[in-house]
Amino acid sequence: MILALTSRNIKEIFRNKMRIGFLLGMPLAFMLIFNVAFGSSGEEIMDVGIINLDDSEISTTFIEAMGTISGINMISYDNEENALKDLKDGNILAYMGVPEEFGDNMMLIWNNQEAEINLKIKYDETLPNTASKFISIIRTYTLQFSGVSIPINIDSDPINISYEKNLVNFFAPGIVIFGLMVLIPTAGGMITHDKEKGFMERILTTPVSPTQILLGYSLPLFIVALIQIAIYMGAGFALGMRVYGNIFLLFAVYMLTALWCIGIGMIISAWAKREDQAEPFSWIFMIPVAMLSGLWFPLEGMHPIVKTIANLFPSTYSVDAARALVLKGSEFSAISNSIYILVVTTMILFLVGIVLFKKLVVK
Amino acid sequence: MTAIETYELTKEFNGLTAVDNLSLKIKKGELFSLLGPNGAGKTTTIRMLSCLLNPTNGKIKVLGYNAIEQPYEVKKVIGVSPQETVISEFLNSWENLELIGNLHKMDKKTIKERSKELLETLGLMERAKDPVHKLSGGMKRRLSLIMALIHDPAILFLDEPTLGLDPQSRRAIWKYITKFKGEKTILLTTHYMEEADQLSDRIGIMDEGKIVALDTPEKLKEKYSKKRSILVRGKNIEKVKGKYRIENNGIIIDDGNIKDIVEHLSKEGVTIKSIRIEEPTLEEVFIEITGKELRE
Ligand SMILES: Nc1ncnc2c1ncn2[C@@H]1O[C@H](COP(=O)(O)OP(=O)(O)OP(=O)(O)O)[C@@H](O)[C@H]1O
Ligand SMILES: [Mg+2]
Repeated sequence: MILALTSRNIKEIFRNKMRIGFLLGMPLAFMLIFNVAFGSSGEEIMDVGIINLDDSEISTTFIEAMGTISGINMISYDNEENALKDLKDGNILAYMGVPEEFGDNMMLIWNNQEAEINLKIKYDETLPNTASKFISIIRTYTLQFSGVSIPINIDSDPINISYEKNLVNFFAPGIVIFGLMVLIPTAGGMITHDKEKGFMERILTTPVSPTQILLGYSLPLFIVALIQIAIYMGAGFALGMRVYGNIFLLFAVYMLTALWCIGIGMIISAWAKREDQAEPFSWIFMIPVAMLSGLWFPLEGMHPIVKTIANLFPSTYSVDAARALVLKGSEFSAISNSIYILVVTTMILFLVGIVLFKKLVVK
Repeated sequence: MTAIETYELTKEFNGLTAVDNLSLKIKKGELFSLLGPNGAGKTTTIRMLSCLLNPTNGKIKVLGYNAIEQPYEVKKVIGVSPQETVISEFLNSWENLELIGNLHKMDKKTIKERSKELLETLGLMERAKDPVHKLSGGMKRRLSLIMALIHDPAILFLDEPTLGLDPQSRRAIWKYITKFKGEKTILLTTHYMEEADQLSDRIGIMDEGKIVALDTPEKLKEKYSKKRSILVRGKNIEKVKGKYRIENNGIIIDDGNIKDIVEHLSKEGVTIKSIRIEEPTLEEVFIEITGKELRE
């Protein structure tokens, strides 16, 4: 019976172009805006640093000729320290060091003798697309210049860019969680719509229990949520998001988020008489919650009252757990408190939802 | 045997008594019609009987089950066609019927067979695969009705089943209902007096939450309606002015032998065009009992 309702509700959601467009379009639109704001398009010119530790004529020529490559803009540095500082500040996307013996070794190679040259490249790990583009440019160029392929030593240790600078990683969890909160008006609106149109009464004249009915609404929305999460994650990765922690744990945090959102929607729908009450009410509830629970900006440095209020919202725990996983690579133990709170909150919300539904809808 | 029984059934909405101390017994296999002006409490009664609304007071028994304490047992045996058209907009007709069938735990094959029969009976087969939001109002109405029938319930609550339907559809529904008369217990509400007259075994006329008259259609007409009368239309009617009652260019004669009437009128110089015997109607009964004023 749950399945019969689930199947009906899935059809109602997926065949209603407005509804499905909103549910799946919203994450895509978010990511698109996100992309424009923080992503780099392929045509952009990359600022890269170059440190010449060799004084030979060959290295000078090598670097000068490199400056003519389209798509990169070279900035010279005297020492690695300055280059690293600019990389960390986000002024350049990568830098390359030309080693001391570059000219001499190049001569040896051209004279068919044994020699080893290592070009050292360091890049911002959070932008892997840019880095790989830069590396491939260098590979092609060195081959053209020297006639042999020069081994490029890529320094791939994650360079310690302080995380406020890493916008994709910082904002992704908040965006996903806010995006999932769209389930609140959707769940609230859907159930209220059916109440308003008498469909709920029609179902209630058949031998189905209130719990089965509510599960029949939650399950399809949960399936929609899984699709939404997949879209968000996919888009995030395409934009260079990197998850340092366990990705399955992150998925679990997002799924819990979807569940408590459905629970809140359920409670709103028990109370609301008409759809045009349920939806705006959900939004009025959502926006301040999103603001106050650190979805858009960190709560550090805010008034203590804000923090106290924030602790009342499940979204705070969702975003804390997700951010810890994405940015710090936290283990389960570090976020277990948040997860337990989310699990308990979800259970309470569902219970309250079912009790209210029994009281207010099943008279 | 009694199929539906209410005892002092009462429903109050914030001080307004919608159903007032209603005690009613409907026999198994009986088709019972509830008639009454708007707001009389018909729908409220049906909603209580189908476990959608808890009564303020009183008892309900449906096939021996207490509707307040054993709603699931009651819901298994009833089919409810609500006053409003209620269907799932983005599903097609088959899927709508399948949903209700599944909620009643019917097997797939039976659902298919029953759906086919019902869709054909009510002429919905051709459009059965269209999403129902594309159907006309009357088609939606027909679907909404057969959604109450799909699981072949022993007891049917039909709240204005033929509201807004064309004469053809209405007749098809009457025919269908007549088919299982005596077999199923049906509680019907309607504002079409002809419908109630044709179909009902007994009629209860409800006003302000109370049943004010209850009997078979014939007995009600006998008791409450004026006697049958004869209406004569024709030329030179004014010639008998004073001797007969004349209303709307017709002569109204309360009783008498048709042959005598024709002879007498011809003698007086009236050219008769038509003679009609006016049977008492349920509508007259209805107006007689519930009055002419509009209800608020
Ligand atoms: N949910 C409700 N809340 C408050 N009052 C209600 C509610 N439902 C019905 N009523 C009132 O109860 C009375 C009976 O209504 P009901 O719908 O039972 O009438 P009805 O006989 O079905 O009328 P109609 O022929 O118009 O369908 C009306 O005065 C109505 O306003
Ligand atoms: Mg009614």
